[in-house]
Amino acid sequence: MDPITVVIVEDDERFRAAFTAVVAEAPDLRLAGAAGDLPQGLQLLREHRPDVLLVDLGLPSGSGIELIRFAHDHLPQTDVMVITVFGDEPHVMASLEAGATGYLLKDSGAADLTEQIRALRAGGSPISPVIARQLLLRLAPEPAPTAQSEALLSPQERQVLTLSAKGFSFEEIARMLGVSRHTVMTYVKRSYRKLQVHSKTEAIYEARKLGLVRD
Amino acid sequence: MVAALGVMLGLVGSGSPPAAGVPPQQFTQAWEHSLLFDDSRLDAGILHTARPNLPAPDDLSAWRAVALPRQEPTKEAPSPDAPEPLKVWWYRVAYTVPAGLEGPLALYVPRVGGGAAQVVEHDGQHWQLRWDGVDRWREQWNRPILVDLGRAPPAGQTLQLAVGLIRHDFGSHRIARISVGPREELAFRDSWRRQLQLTAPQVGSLTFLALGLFSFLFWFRRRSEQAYLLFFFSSVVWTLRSLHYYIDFPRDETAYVWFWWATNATLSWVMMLIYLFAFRFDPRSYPRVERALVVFVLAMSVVTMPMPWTESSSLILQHLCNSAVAIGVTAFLSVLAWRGGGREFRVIVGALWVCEVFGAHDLLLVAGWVGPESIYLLPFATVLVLLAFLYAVQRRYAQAIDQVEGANQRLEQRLAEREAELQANHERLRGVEREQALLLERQRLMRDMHDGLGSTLMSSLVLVEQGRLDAPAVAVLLRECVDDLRLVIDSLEPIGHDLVTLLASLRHRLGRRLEAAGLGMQWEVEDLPPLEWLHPPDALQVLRIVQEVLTNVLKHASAQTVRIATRRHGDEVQVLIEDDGRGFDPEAAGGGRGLRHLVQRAARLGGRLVLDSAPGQGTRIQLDLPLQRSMRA
Repeated sequence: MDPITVVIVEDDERFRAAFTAVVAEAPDLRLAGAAGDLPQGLQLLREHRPDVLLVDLGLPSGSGIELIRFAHDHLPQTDVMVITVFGDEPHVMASLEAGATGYLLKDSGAADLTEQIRALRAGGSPISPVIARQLLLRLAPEPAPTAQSEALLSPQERQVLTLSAKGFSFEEIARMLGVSRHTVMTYVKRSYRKLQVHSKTEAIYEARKLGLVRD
Repeated sequence: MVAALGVMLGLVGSGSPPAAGVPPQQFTQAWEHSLLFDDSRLDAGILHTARPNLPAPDDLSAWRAVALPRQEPTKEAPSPDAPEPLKVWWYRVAYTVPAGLEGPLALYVPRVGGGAAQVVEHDGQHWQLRWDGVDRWREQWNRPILVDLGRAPPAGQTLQLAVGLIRHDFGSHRIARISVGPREELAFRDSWRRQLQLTAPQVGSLTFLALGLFSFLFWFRRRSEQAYLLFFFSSVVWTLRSLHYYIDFPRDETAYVWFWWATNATLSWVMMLIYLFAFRFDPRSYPRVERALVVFVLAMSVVTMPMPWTESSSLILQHLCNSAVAIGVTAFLSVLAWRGGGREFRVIVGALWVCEVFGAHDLLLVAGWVGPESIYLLPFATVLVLLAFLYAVQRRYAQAIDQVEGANQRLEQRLAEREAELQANHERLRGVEREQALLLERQRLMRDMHDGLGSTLMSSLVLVEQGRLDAPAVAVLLRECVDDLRLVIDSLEPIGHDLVTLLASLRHRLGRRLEAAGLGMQWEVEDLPPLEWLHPPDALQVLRIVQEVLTNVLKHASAQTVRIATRRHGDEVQVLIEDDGRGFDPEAAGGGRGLRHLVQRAARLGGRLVLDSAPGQGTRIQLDLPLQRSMRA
C-alpha cells in the first residue's frame, strides 16, 4: 500500500518541526513538504497534490481557510485536517464549511497525530459533541423540518450525529447501531460534505435575498 | 330652495297654461252694487236662496263701474254701540264667449278678503246662485275661489256673472281681479295658489317642527346649549302660528276669537324666540335686551287677549308695534354681527332682515296697501330663517367636531412623544443592561484568570525561578493550566442549556487521557430537558466539579472503570459518577478539604453533592441540580 503523502502548513516553527518529525517517523506516512505561510503552502499543494493537508488556521499571510477552500475546490483527493489550539466551535465550523473533514488539537501527542491522520484518510476524525450538535442544528433543524432540510441528512447520519452530541464515542455508536466503526466515521464525513454544500447554497440563498446574485 | 320658491312664484305670476288655447279673460273692471241687509247675522245662513235679490244686469242705474282689484275704503262705526248691519257688495262682469273655445268654463278669483263670498249667474231673467262660500267665511281670506260654470255656450254669447262679498258694514274688504275662461287653465292657477298659500306653509312649518324635535333631543343631552332649546321652541310656536294658513277655523265663536288671538300672539313669540336664538351666536350676552324683549312680547299677548271687557284691538296696530320692535332688535343684532359676530351670526341676521321685509309685505297685504293678488310671504321667510338656523347649528356642530378632532390629534401627538420617550428610555436601559452583562462577564473572566490560571502560572513561575521545579513537573503544571483554559472555553461553547452536551464535551476532552491511564468509561447518559439557568458561569462550575471528581478518581481511586450517568428525578437532574476503585472512609479526615470545596460549588449552583464511599467499595458521587432555578445564586 502506498504511504499517505502529507503537506504541513504551520507558521510556528517548533510545531512545524514537531509535526514534521512525527510524520517522517511514521512508516505509512510520507512528508511531501512543510510550509510556513500561505503562498508556499499553495505552491506545495499544486506541486504535490498530497493525500492529506495539515493546516493551521492562523497564518501570517492569510487565513488557512483559503488553503482549505483551494484544496477542496481543486484537489478532490486531498483530505484537509485543521490544526487548532482548542477545537472551539467557531474555528471548527468555519473550517468544516470551507472543506476540512477533521481537526487536530495542537498539543496532541505523536501517537495521536499519526492515528488521526490515518482515521481521517479512512473516514473522518472524531467529532466533538458541540460540533455534532451544530451540524444537527444546521442540517436538520428540530422545529418542523422542511422537505429540503429533511433530505439533507439520512436517518443514519442524523442518528450518528445525535449520539455524538450526547458524548458517545464512535465505538459505542457502532455497537448501538450494529455497524462498524468505519461506517460510523463515513456517516460523519458525509455530514461534513453536506455541510459544505449546504453552506454554499445557504450563502447563495443569502446573497440572492440581498440581491447580490441573479437567478 | 329659494330658487325653487322663485320658480313657483314665477309660475303663478305668468300663469303658464297647461295647453295652448283660448286664454282666460281677466277683468280689470267690474260693475259694483251694494245692498244692505236688515238684522241678519253673517253666520245665520243668509242668502241661501236660489234667487238672490239683485238688480238685472241691464239696470245701469243700479251698477257703477269700479276698477279691479278693488280695495273698499274703511267705514268707521259712528259709535261703539251702534248696531252693525250686514251688507253685500256685488261685482259683476260680462263674459262674451270667444270663438274657438271648447270645454267647460270656470270663474276664478285669487283672493277675496274681508268677508264671505258667493258667485251668481244671470240666466236672462233671474240671478241664480252658482257657488256659495258663506259657510267658509272664516277661511275665505286665504282661499282662492274657483267656480265651475259648466259647458261653454256657443261663441258670441255673453255670460253675466257676479261675485258677492258679504260682511258687516263697518270695516273694509278687497277683491282681486276676476278671471273667466277655460276651466282647465283656471283650475291650474287655482291649484298653484293653493300650493303656495296652504300647502307650502303647512309643509314648511311641519319640517321646522321635525327639526325642532331633533334639536330638542340634542338639547336634552347637552342642557348647556340653550340655542338648541330655543330652536325647538321656535319650531313649536311657528307650527302653531302657521295653522291659520291652512286649517279650518273653529266654528265656536269663543274658540274662533281665541284662535285668532293665539295666531297673532304667536307671531310675537316666534319673533322673540328667534331673536333669543340669534343672541346665542354673539360671544357676549345681553340679558337686559333679552328681558325687555320677553316683557314686551308677554305684555303684547296679554293686552290683545279677547276678554269680554276688552275692546277688540286693531290687528294692524298690534303688528305695527311688533314690526317696530323687530326692526329695532334686528338693527341691534346687525350692529353686533357687523362688529364681531361669526359667519353664522351674520347669516342669521341676513335672514332676519328678509323676514322683516316679508313681514312688512304681509302687514301691507292685510292693511290693503298691497294688492290682494299677492300671497303671504312670512311662511317662506320662515323657511329662510330655518335654513339660516340649520346653517348656524351645523357650523357649531362642525366646529365642535373639529375641536374634538384637534384635541384627539394633540393627544395622539403627545402619546407618540411619550412612546418615543419610553422607547428611548428602554433603549438606554438595554444599553445599560448590556454594559452590565459585559462588565459581569469581564469580572468573571478576570476572577477565573486570577484564581485559576493566573495563580497557578504565578506559583509555577516562582518555583521555576527558584529552580525548585524540574521539566516534567513544569509540564504537569502547564498541562493543568491548559486544561483549565479549555474548561473556560468549553463553558462558553453553544450547548443550548443542555447538560448532556456539556458533560459530553468534557468526555470528548478527557476521554483519550482517561483511556491512556487505563480507566474505562461507562457512558450512560439519559436525555434531559434544557436547564434554562445553565449559562456559561454555571456551566464552568459544573465542568469544574466533574473534572475534579474525575481527576480524583485518576489520582486516588485506582479504579478500572468509571461510570457517568445522568437522569431526571422529579424536579431535579442527577449526575452520577461512580468508580470501582478502592474507596475511602468519608468520616476520616484526609480528602476533606477538596470535598468541602465540591459541596460548596454544588450549593452555589443551587444543587447538592452527595458522596457515598467505603473502603473497598468504590466511590459514588451524586450531583443533584434543580430543573428550574428562580434566582441566580
